[in-house]
Amino acid sequence: MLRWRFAILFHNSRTLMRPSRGLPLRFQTALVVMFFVAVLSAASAQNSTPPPQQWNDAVSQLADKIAAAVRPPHSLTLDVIENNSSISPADAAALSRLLETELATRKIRVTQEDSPETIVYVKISEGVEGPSMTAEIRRRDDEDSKGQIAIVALQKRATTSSGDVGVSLILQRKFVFAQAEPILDFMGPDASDGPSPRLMVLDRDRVAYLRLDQRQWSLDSSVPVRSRFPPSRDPRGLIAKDDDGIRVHLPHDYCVGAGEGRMDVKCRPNVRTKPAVDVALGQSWPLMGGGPQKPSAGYASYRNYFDGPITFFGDVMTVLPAFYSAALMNDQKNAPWILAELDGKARLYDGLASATATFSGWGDNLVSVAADCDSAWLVLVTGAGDWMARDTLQIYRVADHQAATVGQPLEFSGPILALWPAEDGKSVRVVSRNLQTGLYEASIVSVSCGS
Amino acid sequence: MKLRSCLFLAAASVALAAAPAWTARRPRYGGTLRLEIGAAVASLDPDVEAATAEEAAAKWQIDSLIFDHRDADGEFAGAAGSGPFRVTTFEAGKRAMLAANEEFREGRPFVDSIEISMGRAAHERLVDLELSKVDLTEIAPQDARRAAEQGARVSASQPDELLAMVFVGGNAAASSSARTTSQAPGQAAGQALSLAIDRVAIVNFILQKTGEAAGGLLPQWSSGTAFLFPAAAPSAPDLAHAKELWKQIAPSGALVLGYDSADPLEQSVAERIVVNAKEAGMALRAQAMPGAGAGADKSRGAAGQATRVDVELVRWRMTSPLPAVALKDFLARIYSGPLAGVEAGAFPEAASPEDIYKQQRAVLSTYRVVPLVWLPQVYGLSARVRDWKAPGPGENWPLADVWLDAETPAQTGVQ
Repeated sequence: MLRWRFAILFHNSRTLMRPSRGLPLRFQTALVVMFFVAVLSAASAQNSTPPPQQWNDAVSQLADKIAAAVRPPHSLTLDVIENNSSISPADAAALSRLLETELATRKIRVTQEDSPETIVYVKISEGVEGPSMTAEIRRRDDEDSKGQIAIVALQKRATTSSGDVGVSLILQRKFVFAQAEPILDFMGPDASDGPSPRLMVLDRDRVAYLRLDQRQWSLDSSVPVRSRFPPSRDPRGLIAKDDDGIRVHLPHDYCVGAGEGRMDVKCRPNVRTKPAVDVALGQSWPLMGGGPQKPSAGYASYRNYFDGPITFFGDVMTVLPAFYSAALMNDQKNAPWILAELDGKARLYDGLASATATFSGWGDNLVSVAADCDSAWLVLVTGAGDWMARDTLQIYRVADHQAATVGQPLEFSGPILALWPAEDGKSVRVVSRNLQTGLYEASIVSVSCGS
Repeated sequence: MKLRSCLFLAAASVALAAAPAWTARRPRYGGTLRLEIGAAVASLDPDVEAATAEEAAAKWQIDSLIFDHRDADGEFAGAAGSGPFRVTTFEAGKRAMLAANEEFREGRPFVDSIEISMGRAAHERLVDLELSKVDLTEIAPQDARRAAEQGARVSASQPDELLAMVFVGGNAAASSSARTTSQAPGQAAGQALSLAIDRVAIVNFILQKTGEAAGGLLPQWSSGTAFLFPAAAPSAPDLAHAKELWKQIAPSGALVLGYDSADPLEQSVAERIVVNAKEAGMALRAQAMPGAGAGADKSRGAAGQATRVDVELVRWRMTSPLPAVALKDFLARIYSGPLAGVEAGAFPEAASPEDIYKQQRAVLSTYRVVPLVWLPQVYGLSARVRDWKAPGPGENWPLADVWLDAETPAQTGVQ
């Protein structure tokens, strides 16, 4: 059985790793109880996946080093002091148990003594390269020395690759995939894929096909997209699917494929412009799911926004201003538009050349979404802030030139970089960047009709 | 932990105090970013050597904006203007104008141009920041809190610059001690000083909590094991031990602690160390030294040798966030400076955390290098600067990614 001591040792330079004797017994007891409660609750909440093999190896190495320091083998007291790392309390407890087991195989018994011959202080901490486990081995007959130090590196647990991340009463987010490279858009997985779902991921310079294999997405194949033009520092891309197949829109390129699980996307340059010319002459990007016959707009290839589209309100042709994103009430000819414009404001256009309403405080990404239980025009809007901050997704009900929030915003741990409508109109594809992990995350957000 | 928390809280409060009311998120193109620096850069030619370390650092940053990449040896290569910006105007030591490179390999920067004003004193930069005459400028760590309290937007990196004390050459008064001790005299003097210095007070009072006390050669955020080199305030037994060591070495005169005369932070820290030393019964006096140039490299102790100092303050910036890379660079300086002539232990190619710990321990146990504090790089920003991230060790100013919010937020501290 491990002996757990709780001492604040590392803050004092001259009492490095000596056990604290200043805490009242009642307080120590309370701390022990609180710790075990925390560990047990964390353990129950944690996934039950076994620790990585590398941890076994690392703890084995640490046990070797401890064993070398306590020759001839004898009993010792193990003092797990602190876990200042991203390793969960449950995993930290597992590491301690593992160390105890490893020591036992080296004929070193972990005991609980008041005045042990040898005491080993263990701390789990973390630097830029990941967590590490440090043991300071102190012998009673060597009080004045600094003790022997042994350190082993621990690998971080792999990031979960699929599963639900969070649920809101109104907005429900389904996490799909994460990777270190920027994701511009993604498509899938489809329920029709059966037990081996596939995912299409649009990166800066390739279209990648992934396959889910034992809860991990792995690369199946990819098609490079090598533009001869300089890339944008705010790259955007869109995957659209319709009856004719898959269409991939990039600032300088346009790709088509048959879809239906066939990995046959072929790409070609989309624009015939030179740098600094902000006019796109190639394929327009669809602003709603359902195919090229839906409302669309040309993308300003050397910037990060859409050129103002031409639309009709009645018989009047109107050129709308440039925008970052658009929400259309429906796909009818005279449908109202809300545009997230270049000046940071969102404006409603519903019959006149000029805006009939202005919405401030919205982010640059917005999209329409439908809900089975609400026939109103619903618009999902990202939060304001820059890419160094967390983000939110808020649902607005738009009616009578007014926009009212509905429900609580859905939180994201970093900026939302892409927000595209799904083909069914009832969900949206979201690409966000997790500021804690640095990973780009693909999720599907839908509106639920829960209470 | 406590100090880290303080720093975090300080940083958080800074951010909250001046958080502008953002109106948008996706980067905007256009505008001129106004940048002020203290250094006067005489030439942007990478082959022309800078006169001072400050000029060399600024020149390195500007060159990183106009050159596409560096060679394997770290030198800038290719044509000027192949980077995210190209120079349109350059007045040596005074002003430079850079324009966005439309054809840059990694994409055109968001801002159209950068206007760099050079040779601006620290107080002038702070005033210009308060008056919104500048978008980006460097702030001394000791001025960060005051700037934030006055409403400026302040951005700080992870603490990545080590302020340390190093023993210089063989002219130390401590080396001429008469009595014998179990340690070398210089080593005992170093240990006595190390025990007596109140690093926490330096962080709290001189740096106004913008920094961390340093006990090792790498910060906790990088190595994860800095806690093994504690840096708490000296206890009564520590001071008693320092006095005992000092008595044993009985130096012939006061030790001389040199600091860069052009660096107000070093001056304040040196004066504080003198006070700490006196409290421990040690004779130490501070001595200003002329600022060492980039070529002279003050970290080698050359300036100290010239002005007969025993110990001097040095500032060493990490070259990488990776502990092994950063430590290797520090060790190269140490074994060619304060530990010149001492055989360095082999540094493993793939150094483990334990290797890194042992390498630090080997240096620190000589007490010829005494870490004091870790300093962050601090920047002041105008309200319209967006997507700025303070560069880490070895990184450059991310000015190609920064953009300017045309609609200046209403709540921005002092405009």
